[in-house]
Amino acid sequence: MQKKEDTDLLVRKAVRGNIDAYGQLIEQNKAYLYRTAFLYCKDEENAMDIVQDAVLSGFRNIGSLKEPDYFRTWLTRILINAAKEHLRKIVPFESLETTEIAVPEKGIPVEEKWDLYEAIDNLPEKMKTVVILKYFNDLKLNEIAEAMQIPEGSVSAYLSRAKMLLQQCLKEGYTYAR
Amino acid sequence: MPDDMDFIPVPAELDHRIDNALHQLKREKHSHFLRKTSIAFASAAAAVAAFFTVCAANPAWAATLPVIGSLFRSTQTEVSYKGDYAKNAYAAVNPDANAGTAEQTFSDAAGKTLTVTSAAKVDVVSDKENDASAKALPDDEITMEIPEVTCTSKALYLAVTLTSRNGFPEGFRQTENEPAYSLGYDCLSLLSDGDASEENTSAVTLSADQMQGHYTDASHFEGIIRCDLSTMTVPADSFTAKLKITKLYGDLPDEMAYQNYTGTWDFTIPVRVDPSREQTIAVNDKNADGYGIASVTKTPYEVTADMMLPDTKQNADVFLAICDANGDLLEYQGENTDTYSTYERDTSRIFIFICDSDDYLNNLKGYYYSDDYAAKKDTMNFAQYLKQHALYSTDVSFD
Repeated sequence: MQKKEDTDLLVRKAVRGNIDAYGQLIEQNKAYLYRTAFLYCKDEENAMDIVQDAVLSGFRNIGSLKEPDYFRTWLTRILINAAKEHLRKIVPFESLETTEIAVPEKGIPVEEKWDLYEAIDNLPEKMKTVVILKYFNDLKLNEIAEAMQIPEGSVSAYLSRAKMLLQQCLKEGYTYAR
Repeated sequence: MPDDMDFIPVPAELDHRIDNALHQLKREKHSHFLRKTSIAFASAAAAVAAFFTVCAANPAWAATLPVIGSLFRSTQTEVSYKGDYAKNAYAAVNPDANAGTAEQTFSDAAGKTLTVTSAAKVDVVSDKENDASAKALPDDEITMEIPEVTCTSKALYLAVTLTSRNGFPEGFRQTENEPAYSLGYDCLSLLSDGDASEENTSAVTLSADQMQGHYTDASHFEGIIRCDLSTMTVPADSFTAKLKITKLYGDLPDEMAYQNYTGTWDFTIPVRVDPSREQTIAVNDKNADGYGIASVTKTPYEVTADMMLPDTKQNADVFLAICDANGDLLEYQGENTDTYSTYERDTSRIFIFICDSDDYLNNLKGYYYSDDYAAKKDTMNFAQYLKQHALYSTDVSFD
């Protein structure tokens, strides 16, 4: 487990232009970054492209990072922007059959998770972002607000509406399937 | 609702993509540095070329040099961070025969010099998928030696040699293979596998971005690594440094493909800091806007100043510029633009300026780098010019 002071030291070094320190921070967060990107695009290649873009953009803009404590939140914002930019450039394509997903050891079946991801994917962009950051990345409301640069109240509103839409969508899907 | 994302597998290819991105950042940073210093180096290119000619014509010359400092002496002007390192160098000696990696050995010829030989997988970093130029190369064996060291409180300088069993590929020998390359030295980007916890252990883990120097032939490189210590807390007199390099990148792209060696060159280096030639002057002056200088430190190789900024500003918002006694801008030393070289410059008195970062980079520095600066200097040198535009200015004299 990385100690907070170690991470703070790395962030301070990275802000001063130390690429190796920045690389270590990326190493610590790479799985988080990839999985977040994957949830956005549901494609392995595109998710890796998004992470690569975010890594580049992050260092080029690291001067905008105000507090070491917010490095992960700040990096999430960079990733979100990279994902939006990347998805604007590509033709939407997704094939669940060709995507390799590890079987979870416990919890809900993969098929049901994919129903959920399909539903999340169909949410309006800001709601989708809020849901991913809240329920997958476990960010707090204020962190989501910081990452998306919107008021905290808007985060709550998006979250509330997203949950209603998801419930409705999944309920319809379930009814249809039966 | 799932509470984690662990079930989404992370592909192994991601590491390669991240390495790609970090290497690109290093190239950009190096290029940025070179752009800013290229004018000054262009004038030195002829002298460097002459040095190469002398070396080529007198191959026995190097062998006649004194052992301690000889490697620094042959490379210290062929790097962007120049300095008279040979004068203060001492031999790097393995602190313990049982320490270090199993591969770490003593070199009889150099007197217990730190030496690590690593099998090196030759890889190609490419920005393009299925790059036709991604030439396969046979795996190699790279021996890295660190025979000499010199250290200030601000930076550690390591004289380094590299020996390739098979010979370095063309993409590594930029001075030889890149047309119109004017800097006269070669550069290898490094990936060092640092440990964040250096402040909590007795050893200081070093981070190194690049080594600069020259190839003496197709299989041998000699150069200098500069490790910045300015942001580290290191003991004042001596410490043990650890440097673990895991990748060596060539700097000459072959149709966007960059060759690199992957290996493990892991060093434990006993370091002596010699503060006797360093001078720190407390300034502790701040203007009404909150900009000021707390102190200025000058080592045998570099000078830097500790800035004081308003609460609303960060280091990235400002640019620290330092001019010599003649009012001319000093060259950068190493990777950070707040550290300046004192090499062959009159720094008995220096002029220090805190400027708005955008203003300096987009406007102010143009005065110094303009073609007619020599003429303009007669009426207003760069220090005088900056004084009119800086957020804060002061000057300091050294003994």
